[in-house]
Amino acid sequence: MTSTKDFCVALKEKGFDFYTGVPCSILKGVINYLSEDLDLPYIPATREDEAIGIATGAYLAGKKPVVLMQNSGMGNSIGTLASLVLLYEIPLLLLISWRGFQGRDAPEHILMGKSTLKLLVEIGVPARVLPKEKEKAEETLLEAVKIINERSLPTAIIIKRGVIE
Amino acid sequence: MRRYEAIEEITKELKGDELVISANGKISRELFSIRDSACNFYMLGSMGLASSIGFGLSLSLPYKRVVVLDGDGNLLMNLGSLATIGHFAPSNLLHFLLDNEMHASTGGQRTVSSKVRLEEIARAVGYKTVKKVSSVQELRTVVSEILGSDSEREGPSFVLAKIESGEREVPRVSHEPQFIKKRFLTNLSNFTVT
Repeated sequence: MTSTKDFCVALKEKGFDFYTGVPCSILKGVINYLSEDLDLPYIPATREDEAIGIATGAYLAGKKPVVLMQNSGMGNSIGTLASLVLLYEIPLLLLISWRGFQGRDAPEHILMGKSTLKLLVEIGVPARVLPKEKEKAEETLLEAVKIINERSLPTAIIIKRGVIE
Repeated sequence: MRRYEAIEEITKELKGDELVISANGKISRELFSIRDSACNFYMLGSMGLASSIGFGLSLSLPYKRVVVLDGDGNLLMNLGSLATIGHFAPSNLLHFLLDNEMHASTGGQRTVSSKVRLEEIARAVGYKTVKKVSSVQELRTVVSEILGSDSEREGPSFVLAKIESGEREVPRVSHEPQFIKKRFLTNLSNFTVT
């Protein structure tokens, strides 16, 4: 398990300096730590696709943005990922919580839980599931950063409940 | 006032270093045809998000003026963006709404902006300067007031320009999306260095 603090500090150290998104209970610790403890800019968006638009603007201004959202909100964002982020190759880090993992969740999360990874792969967004073990989680973050820096592609890290505490 | 005339009027008043985000469809195409520039980011897809992209830019570059050329169909699709902008109120953001009360790019289907007072929403969420114009002369006055060097109007500003229907044949934006992005970024990095 990775601590919220370690994860957030690692994001800051990798140069991510602009955060926006729509909250999820799985990500609440991360969002709170980034904005309150590390005093990094976090813009609460009204929708996930709006957050992606804001992050794209920040990227065009020279920032290194992160978008946080629940996988249900990723459903709202497919068109934006396709016709903005992938079209122009905007290298955003997407932190997406995984509700509905293995079908164990409230009914509204089951179908999207089953489809989250497949949808990302289908449209061409590199995606990694954050491993539970701390060292492996660090490797996953490094891999994502490498894709963002070297290939200028948006990259998703999928976060299950209990992996960051 | 036609949309083409409105965009001409606005771009005429620009000093040249403002960053311009244009909504997808005819707005981007007309801007491209009137004044192509490295400072323009033509949004080709992602309908609704021009104001969000402009907002992210304006927050991150508080010393640069950011101009958004938005349409009523676009804004209505992402009304939440107005609330977010109103809350953070970046003073360097100038948001134009070219309101023809229709989706002109897809064949003129009506939107709801003939009755909905979008300028009142902008005022309610916290835009500092809100204007509504319906002629070229009025637009010229408002644009020079806001962009003019002798005035320091506090933003964010929202200018609703009522547009008549009527299209001019303009070509599609012929640049590749990645070229638009790279040119924009390179221009900005040159600006930051000098």
